[in-house]
Amino acid sequence: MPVEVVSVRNLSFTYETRDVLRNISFSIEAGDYVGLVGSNGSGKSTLIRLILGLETPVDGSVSLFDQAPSRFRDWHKIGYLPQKNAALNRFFPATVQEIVALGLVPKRAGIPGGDSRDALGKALDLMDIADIRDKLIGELSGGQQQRVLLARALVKEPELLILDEPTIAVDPEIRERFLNVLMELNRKRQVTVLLVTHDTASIGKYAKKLLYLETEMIFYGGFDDFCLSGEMTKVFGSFTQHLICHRHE
Amino acid sequence: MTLPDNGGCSLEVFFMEVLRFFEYAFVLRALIAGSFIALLCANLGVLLVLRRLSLLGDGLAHVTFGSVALGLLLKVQPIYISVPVVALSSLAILKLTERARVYSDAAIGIVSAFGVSGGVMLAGLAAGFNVDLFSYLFGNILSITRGEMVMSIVLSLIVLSVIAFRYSELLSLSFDEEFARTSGINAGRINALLAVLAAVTVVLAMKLVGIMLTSALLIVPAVSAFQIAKSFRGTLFFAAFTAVISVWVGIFLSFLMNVPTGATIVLLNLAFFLVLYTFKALSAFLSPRR
Repeated sequence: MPVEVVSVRNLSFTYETRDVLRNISFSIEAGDYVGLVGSNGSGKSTLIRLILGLETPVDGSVSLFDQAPSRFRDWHKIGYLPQKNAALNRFFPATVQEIVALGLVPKRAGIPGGDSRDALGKALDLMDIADIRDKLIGELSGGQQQRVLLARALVKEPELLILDEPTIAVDPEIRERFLNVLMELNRKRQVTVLLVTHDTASIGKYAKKLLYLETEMIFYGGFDDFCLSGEMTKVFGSFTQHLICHRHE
Repeated sequence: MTLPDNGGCSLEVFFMEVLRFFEYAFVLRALIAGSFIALLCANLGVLLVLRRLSLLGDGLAHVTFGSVALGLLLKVQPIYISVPVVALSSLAILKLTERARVYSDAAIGIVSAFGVSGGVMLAGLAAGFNVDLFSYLFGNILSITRGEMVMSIVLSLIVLSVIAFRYSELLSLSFDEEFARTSGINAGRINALLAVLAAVTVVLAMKLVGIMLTSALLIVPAVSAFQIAKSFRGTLFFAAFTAVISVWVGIFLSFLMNVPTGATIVLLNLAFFLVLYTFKALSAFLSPRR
């Protein structure tokens, strides 16, 4: 029986008088790779914040590894990358290494120092930032900063990765490399991935499932179902459907 | 205390003055207590400035004015009244910001106005302690008693231990609160802790530089360190270094030149900032462009 990592039931969220999310229900199982897409203001980031307990639902419920987010304690299982603009203070006087090590904070208790150092080294290598480990975060380019934040999300080797537009401002080579790393983590180590992206053209190459959101949930399921669905052709038009499906094998 | 007028300040006279300086018990008390308070202000100041709460120190210092007036009215040592009153005010600022959708600078303004108007009202109602009250505005570390020194050391050690013990959480929250919360860090509890630590620090800093200049002791060492530090730990170290050196040199100069100690300490901190800022700007100008 598959293990439910995230479960969302009849979830609604209102900001002042505007409906941001309306009656959303879905579940993500261990080993899933879900691409979360939708237009600007469709509620993607809000959904992620609700899953992580950063916002409280107006209606409905969320559970993370069978626990309500407000009572969740196993934060070492989760790697999170917030949207870049919300996260980064460019003048912060900390080095790359100090920032990446923040990802180890929930896991640090009881972990031998050597293991933490190994994990840190691996994350720096993975994102190709080992040579800039002693630079201040503010001295880096936008793409390098994003790689630092990605390394911070990956350093504790989480079971669930939640990434809000992780490849924004990253050059194509690093972007491709990062998405391949994510795919490898998902396929080989069964790390569950929930990836918010605007890049509908390439999500089919990496993700196993698609969650399409426009305040309401338009579609949730495998790419085969999406690509073969005549109903989805009516909703999105054949061009958009083809765009999403053409890289799915 | 002034320099002897013997037709020029010889090196020998200068060293005699230095030796004499360390013979006074009140000077030693001031140096010890001042060093701990400066260390505390520098470390906490870095955290406050990075969280864009630089003016929290200023607001709390205004509340300290009201709490000192209350202490004098009740004929209780003001520090015993100030610590709880300022801590509660600091928590009130936090709650106003979190719950009442008031921006933090506005919340600081509200609580600060309450502190000052309360202090002025109490001073007006109970005429007679105005001289004492106004002496707190500018502080005088040279008048610190043995009991006050011990209390300053104990409180400083408690606050510094909390910062050291919660270092990772404070750093994570300062850099990215949203990420910190998804790391299992209880942001509400740590923010409340920071508010209380800030309150204790402001009350202690009042003795060193006075209510009027407390915020400078929190802000200036931090921004000086930002000019040259190459890591977060380095920032904490340089802030502490400039703050403690300013206290030592400030106390010595004020003793030697018979000028107000608090103002001298703050001016030295500002001098550090100007020198380090200029050094950084010159380095950037002279370094080869890529």
